[in-house]
Amino acid sequence: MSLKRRQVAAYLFLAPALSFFVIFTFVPVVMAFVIAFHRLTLSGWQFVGFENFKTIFSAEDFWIAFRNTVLYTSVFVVKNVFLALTIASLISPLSNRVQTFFRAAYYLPTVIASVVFAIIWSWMFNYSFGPVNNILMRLGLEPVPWLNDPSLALWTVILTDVLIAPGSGIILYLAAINNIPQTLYEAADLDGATPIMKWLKITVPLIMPTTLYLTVIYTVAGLSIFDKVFVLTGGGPGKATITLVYLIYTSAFRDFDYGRSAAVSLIFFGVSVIISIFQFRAMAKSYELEG
Amino acid sequence: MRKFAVKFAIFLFLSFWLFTSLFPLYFMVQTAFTPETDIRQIPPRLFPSKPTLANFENLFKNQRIWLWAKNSLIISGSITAGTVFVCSMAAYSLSKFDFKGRKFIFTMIVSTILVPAQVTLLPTFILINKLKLTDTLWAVIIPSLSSPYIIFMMRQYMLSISNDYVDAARVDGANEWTIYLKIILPMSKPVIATSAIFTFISSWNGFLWPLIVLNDPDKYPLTVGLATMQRLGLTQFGLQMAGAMFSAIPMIVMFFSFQRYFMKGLMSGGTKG
Repeated sequence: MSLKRRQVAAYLFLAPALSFFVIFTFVPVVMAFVIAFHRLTLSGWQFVGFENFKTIFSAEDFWIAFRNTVLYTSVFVVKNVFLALTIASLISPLSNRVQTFFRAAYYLPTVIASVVFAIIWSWMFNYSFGPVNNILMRLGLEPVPWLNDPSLALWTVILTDVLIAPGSGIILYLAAINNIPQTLYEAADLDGATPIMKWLKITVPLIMPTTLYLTVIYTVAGLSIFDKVFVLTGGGPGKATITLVYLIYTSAFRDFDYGRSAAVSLIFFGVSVIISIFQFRAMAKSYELEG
Repeated sequence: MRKFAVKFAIFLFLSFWLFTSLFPLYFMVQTAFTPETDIRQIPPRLFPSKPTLANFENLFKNQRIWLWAKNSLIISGSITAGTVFVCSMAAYSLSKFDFKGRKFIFTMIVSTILVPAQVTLLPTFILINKLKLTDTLWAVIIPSLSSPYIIFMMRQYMLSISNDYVDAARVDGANEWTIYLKIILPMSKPVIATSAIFTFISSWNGFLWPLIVLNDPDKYPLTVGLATMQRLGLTQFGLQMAGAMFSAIPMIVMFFSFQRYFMKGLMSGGTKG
């Protein structure tokens, strides 16, 4: 077959995927930029400049959502990376069969929808009937308004996350740790290094790329929190647990303020791109250091 | 003795997190099998006093649960089949052809990983509306038919397939379509299996997008249906847990049947957080 025809074939194989990316990613991103500077009125779209952004920054909603999202994401990332590293380090010296068991057990919750988990938590933390308050009351304590107290609700949402071990992180760390050459540890043994020193000086530095990768992945996942809030609190009580994505959702599909929703989504986009680029650069640097 | 203490402490630590991670699932099962009248008993028990199937009977009496399950199945099945097809073709092109703009296109596709789905939510909704697809399952399926992660993963895999196979077939006069179907696809089985499983699970668990584009409760997938059921029947906890279990079990079964593909997929670049 001629080279030219082969070129055509290459483009044809790419065509379906490319059209999906163009229609459902590139066009929408451009649209988001356009909509953010417009307002939908009865007479159609009207250009309003930075008006939408001004409204957002002057309203309390955005700052509550921003604070909640940042707070949730910080706890989510730190806890997931730290716990994954600790658990993987503790599992890695165990026998293969035990490792397989723990890997599967820790990973299992990851395949279940966050909505399903949220429904279970909303039952467990139910104020009047939930088992958690039941036990507290039986112990002679006051029931705790887990999801009904505005100052407590976000922490309850965070708590339901803290309790779940980070399945994918554990598996990625295990793979990275098992890839470290044993000779390094043997050399350290000759120098009389303690297990803790070996962990700090060999394991932790050598799995830095995994740490950075997980930090990026968990940051993006944390910033996107929605399902859990929707089911557990519906953003409430009041506005106590709204998040950025929740705000994107309610401004567009409850208040029908498309311009404002698009503007919030651009801010969200900006934050996540800046964080990702920052972290990718750190990642690239650490690769360079390794040679 | 000290060694034993350290081992015991490690065992306690690992078991603690195993317990907190799996306890919600256990409690879901416990509540699902407890009669509604006993659910609020004090103290809550670890095992239902009188195990019952009443909650499931209640759940299945609601015709909608079957519709939701069917919708979930159609949505996840179509997205999985479509994604594997579309992405494997793209990956074949990007790994086994030399053409102008290959590097640029690949970079462009991978860079869409940086665009969170939440940013394109509203514009995509407007597009779907313009296409008159709102409130159809197509609205959920079509925008999810290609994934940069899957293309990346498949391309990496196909790069490792020797070019000799492809070249030999080309010399024999096979056309590119035949090469794709008869050589590339069969040789990529492991990566296809991994991609298919991950895509199926993430679309089965998808929530926000179907919530937005579907209004008719008969069109909901399980996730959206259960969340609305939770909001309406706020106190029927047994029923809610039976529903949660109904939606979780297929994923648990898949997980245990395809465990090794999961581990492989995660380690070859991973898909979701």
